[in-house]
Amino acid sequence: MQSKGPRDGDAIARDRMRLARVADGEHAAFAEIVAEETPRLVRFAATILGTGAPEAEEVVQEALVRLWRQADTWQPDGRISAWLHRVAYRLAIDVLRRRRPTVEIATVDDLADEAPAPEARLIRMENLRALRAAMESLPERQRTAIVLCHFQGLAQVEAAAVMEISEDAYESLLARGRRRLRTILAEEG
Amino acid sequence: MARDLDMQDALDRFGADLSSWPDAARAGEARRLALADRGFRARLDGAAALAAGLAGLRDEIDADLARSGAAARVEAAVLAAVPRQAGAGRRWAMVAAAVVVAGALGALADLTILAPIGSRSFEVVVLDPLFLDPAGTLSP
Repeated sequence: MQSKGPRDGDAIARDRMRLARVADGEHAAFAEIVAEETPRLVRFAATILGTGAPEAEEVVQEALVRLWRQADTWQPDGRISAWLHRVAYRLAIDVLRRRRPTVEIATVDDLADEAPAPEARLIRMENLRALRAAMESLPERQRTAIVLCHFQGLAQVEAAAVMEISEDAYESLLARGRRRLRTILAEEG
Repeated sequence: MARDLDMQDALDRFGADLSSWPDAARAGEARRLALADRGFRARLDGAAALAAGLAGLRDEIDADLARSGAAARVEAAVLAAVPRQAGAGRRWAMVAAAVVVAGALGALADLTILAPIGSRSFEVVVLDPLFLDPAGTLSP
């Protein structure tokens, strides 16, 4: 599921050539990137902001238009996909802050786990509705960490860059998110 | 006990796919533990089940979004928002524009400043020094 990350030199080189064509004004090259990236980005924004949220489409639209505008100054040190995720995430956080200006998103999610890890048992996954509800109940940063890994297929170093945190901090968020999901699903039994 | 917590923490950080763990030695230890410890094996299976469930949820969300037409709307809006460049690229268009502007400026200069010598007329005024004061200005 996870990509090789920024060490995937071929993908980075390919993206650099594609952005050069976009910088040269090739609309077709840009349209190709848009077609490739839009469904994943919409999924990403929708899981952060809530599926059905109109802002999810606006966030993705803005991220892609910014890519067009900045194609001339593209720094080839990563993949287009990772850059787009980073921009979309920042825009999504702005939306969340406008919705709940008094909530410090960073602090709520970083509270220590209240309960020890539950007894390991095989969790039945056929109930997707329960899993969806459990995901939606996660603190935003834990949900984002889970989404970047399990939905978006970003390597941990890329996912950490999207969230603008260290790799260790990202791994910690991911671990807490997974533990929280298991706890919620085990309680629902 | 500490080892169990350490391996559980590694499992939560790196996931059920031991081949993707960044530390091969630790992944090897996890494999051995999964064979020797039924409790850890159950936790590994639980992590794999969670990963499979999340993959299923991802597919369900994708299906919902496809039905909503969200991606198609975004694509259409983005492509409508960026200018089209027909034929040569943006850079060549800028170069061509610069050449045209330079040419126009040159022609303008030619007409207003560098008119052919033959078309000009000159008046020569000779100032009689008797009418100039010591400063070289005309005395009243």
